[in-house]
Amino acid sequence: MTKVLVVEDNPLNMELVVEILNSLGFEVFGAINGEDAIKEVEKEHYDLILMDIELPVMDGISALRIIKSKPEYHNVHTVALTALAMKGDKEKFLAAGFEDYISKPIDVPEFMKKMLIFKKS
Amino acid sequence: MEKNLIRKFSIYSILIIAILGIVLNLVISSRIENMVIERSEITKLQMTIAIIIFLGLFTLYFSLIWIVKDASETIMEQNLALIKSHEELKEMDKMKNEFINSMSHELRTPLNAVIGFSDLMKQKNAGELNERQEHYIDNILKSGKHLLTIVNDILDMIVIEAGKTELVLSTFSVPFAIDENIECVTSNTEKNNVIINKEIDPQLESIEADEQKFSQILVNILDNALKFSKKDGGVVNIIARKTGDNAQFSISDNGIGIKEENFKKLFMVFQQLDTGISRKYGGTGLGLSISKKLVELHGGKIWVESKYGEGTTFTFELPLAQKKEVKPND
Repeated sequence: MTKVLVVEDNPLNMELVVEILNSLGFEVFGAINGEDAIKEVEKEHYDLILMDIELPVMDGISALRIIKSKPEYHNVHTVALTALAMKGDKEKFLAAGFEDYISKPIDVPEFMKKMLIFKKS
Repeated sequence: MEKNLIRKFSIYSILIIAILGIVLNLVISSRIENMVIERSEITKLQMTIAIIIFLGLFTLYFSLIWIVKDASETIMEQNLALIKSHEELKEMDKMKNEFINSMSHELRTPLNAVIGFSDLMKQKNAGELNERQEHYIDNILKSGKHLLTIVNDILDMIVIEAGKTELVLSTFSVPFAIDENIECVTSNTEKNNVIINKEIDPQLESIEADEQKFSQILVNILDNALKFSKKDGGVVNIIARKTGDNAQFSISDNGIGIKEENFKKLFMVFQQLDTGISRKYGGTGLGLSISKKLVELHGGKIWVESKYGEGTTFTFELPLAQKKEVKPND
């Protein structure tokens, strides 16, 4: 099964994403901040990380930088999932090393379509 | 206070020197006329003149120094004040940007749950819904999406008003852009029975503009035209033509029309002509004012013609190419 780590500090938004991913047949785990995400990644192998940007303790960009700096995680897919959606934000996160960017509020059908791309058959 | 004294002193001293000079001149010339000067008197006179000239030059020299010093001090002070207020403005600008960014973030975060969960429910992710439940969920979803449009429009408006909008210019195909935007509005609207006609001047192949903003303008106006066209037999005509160095786009509908006295209000922020309109037709009341700003940003103009009860035509004109001058960055 495809393993996804959702990094999100807002419990309602975490629940939403987890529900959607579960319904699509992913195995979903959660982390509530960047530091927590790094610990999770060290414990388990994930196929995909959905990362919020504005997080307490450690933000999403810093966490991504640390994760991507280790060669063993180079093949983990990373997508920014954030409510930061002003002009230039998308470019900023892609430049920081995220493969893709999804802005909140998500469009559920579109989000599902994007997620299915990462699903291992 | 002190500065004024110095200034006065300098002016008076110059005046005194001038008066002394005149008096002396009169004295000497009268003596010379009478030719009754004795040798010793001449020496005395020469001495006096020398002293007066020396004193005069001395005072003049220091007065000038004072005046220049005084003026340069004032200029320096004004410069410092300007630098300070420039720094303050920059700081305020930064704070405003941070505020806009966090406002955007804070509004989107709860909207994600509102829109996301109602969408999930609508998709029967949590089981079957009865007809009324489905209707309620539709209402929540629609309102959530409406709120999102308002948030986006307001943020757009703030960014435009702050003069922070920059055009990302490219040259793109006009017929292609029009087709794309027609598709965009028809997929979003419930009024699929409205006929959309287009007529594109073959001479108008491409335009240099900000493609995304061009779409925003066209979609806004097309959306309005669709919204206000007749329920049955609604027709929207798009005419694009080349007029000199400009491209002109006219979008007309055969809907309810607008009274002439309301033309000006159309482009103002949050002015829907009739409060009933937003209930009946939706919309945020920001679309046309945003379109106007975006057209003007391109150096173009937008206007409206309408006959009440018969229909409305919105026309906007954009230069075919943008002037090459680069806007200075703050």
